[in-house]
Amino acid sequence: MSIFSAITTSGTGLSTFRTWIDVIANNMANINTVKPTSGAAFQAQYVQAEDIAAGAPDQAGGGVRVTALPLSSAEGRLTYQPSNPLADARGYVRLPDIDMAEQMGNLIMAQRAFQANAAVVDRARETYLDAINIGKNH
Amino acid sequence: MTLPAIGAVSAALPTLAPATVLSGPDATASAGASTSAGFASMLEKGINAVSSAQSKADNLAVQAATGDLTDIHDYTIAAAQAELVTQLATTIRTKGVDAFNQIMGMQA
Repeated sequence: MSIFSAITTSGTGLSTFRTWIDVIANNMANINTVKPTSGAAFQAQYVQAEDIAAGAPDQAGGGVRVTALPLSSAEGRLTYQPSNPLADARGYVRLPDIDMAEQMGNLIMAQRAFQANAAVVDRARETYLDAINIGKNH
Repeated sequence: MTLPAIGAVSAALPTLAPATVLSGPDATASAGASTSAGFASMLEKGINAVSSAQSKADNLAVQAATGDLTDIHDYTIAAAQAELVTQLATTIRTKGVDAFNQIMGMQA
């Protein structure tokens, strides 16, 4: 814990949710990416995060950090598209197993959480300024 | 008469180097050595925090200008922290100078 730690802590949240938004953007961009059945389908990324533990029992925690970006199934959705140039001998290709609605829901959650952390930064800044200005209006 | 608070701040401000603690005889005698050294070193740490916060914000500003910045909020947060730390330091300095002036203005 250092000086103005609330701002730093909220910064870790902002970084984490920015990563989540980046990951969702990548998943959405590849929602129609077709792969041949000989290889893996495009695998959606997910964000795995953990808290930054406090140094002592009487201290606030240090925020959150991204630990890994696990991938969804490599099998994907086997789809019959015989006209696709990537189709195998039986006419199948692999489409990514990404649920658009789920991704949109996650995007809204990530955006709102990012905004909440930004609001905490603003509020903490105001609070610290109040503390600095104690005794100025005498 | 020396006021260690002002001495520590003014010694550190122009160079932004670690402030040298002015250990006058009255500083050690009046309130005890540990208290005055504690306050001076606290001020010193504060000044160092100001300079490091400002240089961090400066570096991130350059990164933002050159397009190397991946996290926008990294810069805005560093700028907010530099602003707060600077305000805190100037507030402490103003309070020290005020106390000095009040003592200087005392009539015999």
